[in-house]
Amino acid sequence: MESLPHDIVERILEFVPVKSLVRFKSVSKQWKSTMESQYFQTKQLTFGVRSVGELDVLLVSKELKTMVLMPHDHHHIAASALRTLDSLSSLSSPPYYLVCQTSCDGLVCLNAYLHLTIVFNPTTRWHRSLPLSRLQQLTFEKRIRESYRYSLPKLGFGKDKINDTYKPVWLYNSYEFGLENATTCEVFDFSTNSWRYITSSPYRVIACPHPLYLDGMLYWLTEGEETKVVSRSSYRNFSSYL
Amino acid sequence: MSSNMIMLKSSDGASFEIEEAAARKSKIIANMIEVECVDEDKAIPLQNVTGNILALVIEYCNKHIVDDDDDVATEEASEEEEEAKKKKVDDWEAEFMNSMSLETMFELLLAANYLNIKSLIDLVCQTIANNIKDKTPEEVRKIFSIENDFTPEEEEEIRKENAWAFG
Repeated sequence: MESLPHDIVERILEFVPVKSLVRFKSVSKQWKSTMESQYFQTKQLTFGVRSVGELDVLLVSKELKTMVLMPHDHHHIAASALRTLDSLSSLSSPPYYLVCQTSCDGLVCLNAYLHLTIVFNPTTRWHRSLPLSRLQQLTFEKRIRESYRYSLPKLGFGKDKINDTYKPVWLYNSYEFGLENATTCEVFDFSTNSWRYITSSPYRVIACPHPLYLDGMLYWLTEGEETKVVSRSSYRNFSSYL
Repeated sequence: MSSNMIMLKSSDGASFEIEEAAARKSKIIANMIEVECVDEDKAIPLQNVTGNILALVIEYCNKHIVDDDDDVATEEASEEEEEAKKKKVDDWEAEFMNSMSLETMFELLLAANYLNIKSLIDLVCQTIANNIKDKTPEEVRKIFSIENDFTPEEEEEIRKENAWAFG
């Protein structure tokens, strides 16, 4: 049988589902390096979203004991369609985790105040724990001194479309933590594995609603001068500090 | 609309007559027509495509002439008509690919790539992908004539890391 040049093989692989791709890593070194290349992953991702349309829904139990991938289309739910994932609870012993409301490209971000934040890809089982942010450290100290009476900030998670990287972002009111300015903003940078501080909203954040991610931007609801306004925390601004 | 005919000649000397509109599905041939290097009396030689594969390519192109040119005309078509039309094309494509062996698909893919017909490349890639997605790495190596260049230890390591995908 005629053998195909590798660039054509790659075009075929763009159409292969992720689970099969992971299995095909053991075909050869060239195939493995293709699947691990950023270029291919981006292409495959674009195709995956296009062909699947609606993505799966991830169900997570409080202590990460059970994680289930459920097809988005409710008409087709059958026991066989549910995929139970290995639990991540072996990583630490969390009391409970919050799942960021925003997820992108199949990545979800799980966080607990006193534990490491985890960015997790339920499809490939890839995951990474992030170091504690300043907010988390301050929360920890505060808890020792006084019981917290402020509503806790919510972690935002999105994709910086300019630098093509994923970013967990905290935006919270400074006063409660004894910090300067109206608000403090921390952005996690995967390339340096650390949190950075950047200039943030001059208006205090209303803590209850979750931040929203839309088309490369994260949005928080803040207290405006006259009426309540939606504060737009642009990644364009963020990236100039990175 | 005038339908100019163009002659194509396969690597093994078979000649095919095809409407210009159909031939334009191939970017390469469309370019040749643009720069006017197509001689009306002479066939375009396609050295990398055999007659039996070229026949398949032409069958595909003929079936897909309308969908590009029709954009303006179909604007007023109802959604249902549009959907019915799309389903008809999908059914035809499924039937077209259904009887083909993997070997023929590979040759067709090479030809589509050489002639630069994007929609045909996608169709063949998708069909091959469906065909191999449930196969084992060993079977995939055989299909693509790939030599396993991992040591048994390395291969075992990759399998262990990704055990969930082998279930």
